[in-house]
Amino acid sequence: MPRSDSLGQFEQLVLTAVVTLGENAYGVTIHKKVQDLASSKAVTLGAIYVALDRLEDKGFVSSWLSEPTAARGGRAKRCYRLEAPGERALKESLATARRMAVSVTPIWGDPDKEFGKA
Amino acid sequence: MITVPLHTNPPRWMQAVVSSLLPPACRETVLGDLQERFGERARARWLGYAGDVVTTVPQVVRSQMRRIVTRGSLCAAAVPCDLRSRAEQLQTQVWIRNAAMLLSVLLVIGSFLLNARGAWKFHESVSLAMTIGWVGAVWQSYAVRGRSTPVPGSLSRDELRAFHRRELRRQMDLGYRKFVYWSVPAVLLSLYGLAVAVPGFRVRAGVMLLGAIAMQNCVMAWAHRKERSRYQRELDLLDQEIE
Repeated sequence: MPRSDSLGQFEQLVLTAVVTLGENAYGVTIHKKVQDLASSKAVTLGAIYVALDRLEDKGFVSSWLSEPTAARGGRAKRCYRLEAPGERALKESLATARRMAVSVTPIWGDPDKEFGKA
Repeated sequence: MITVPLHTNPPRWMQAVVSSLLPPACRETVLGDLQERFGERARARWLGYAGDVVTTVPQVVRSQMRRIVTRGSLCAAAVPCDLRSRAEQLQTQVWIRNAAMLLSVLLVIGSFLLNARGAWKFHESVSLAMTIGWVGAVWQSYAVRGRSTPVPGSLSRDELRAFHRRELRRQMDLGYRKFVYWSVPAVLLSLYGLAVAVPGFRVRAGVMLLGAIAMQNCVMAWAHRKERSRYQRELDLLDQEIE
């Protein structure tokens, strides 16, 4: 079955978190970042894993295991990095969101005033 | 100054339980993340840890299952199971049973060969699933239900009667168990696989397929009933002779 290259809103948030966290993007940090970005919604750690698995299957992110740390009981982290298809998809989503904002702002006004800046 | 030891690790037993629930592929990283979050909490750590486990483990398991079980593999696993199940019901016509069993074997071998030559566009998990389905079917055939027993030649009348009674009971038992164990899961798996894997597979095609399966099951039930009647007749004859 053909896989869709478009991103859902949650996937956009996760990819944004992966981009901004750089080398330190793994489950816990991505969860915190996504929670910050989606300030009005509660996000579970499980949802982050599901989204990361899906994004990895689509080839948007890749993962590797880091060195084990004591804070994690000697367990490794699975770190994520954005791949070229993921970057393209995220840029496309951003461009679409920007076009939507340009069209809607004259009618509704600036949405940042109502929902606050991220 | 009294220092309170900071417990940065969740209880061992709790970690052992969580570890047993998680799929091996992501066990280490998920357990590590959960422990890190446990250590970051200032209070209600155990409760928070339990909350994390409840919201995380089912999602992780579901995600891993989605990654491992492909639509094609579900279909593939169902095919040999269903074929064998239907073949078994045709015990009166040995050549059909053998042909159906042969077909399921050919499907398994064929998928492997196509995979090996790179001509198979499905994932190799299809072959694996087909093999598992086939091995399961063969195991079920020989280990769970037992071989179909031919009528022994040199038996006394009482022994022959006992044999027919056993066979009659087995035949009566077979119809119910076969339906529950094999036909229902196989049909559901096939339908699910078709619905998600075949573009344009919609309600109409599903209803037609279900109708065909229902008709086939009716024929099988009729054949089974006929077989039971044959055993019962022979049993009655034996009883009459003894009287």
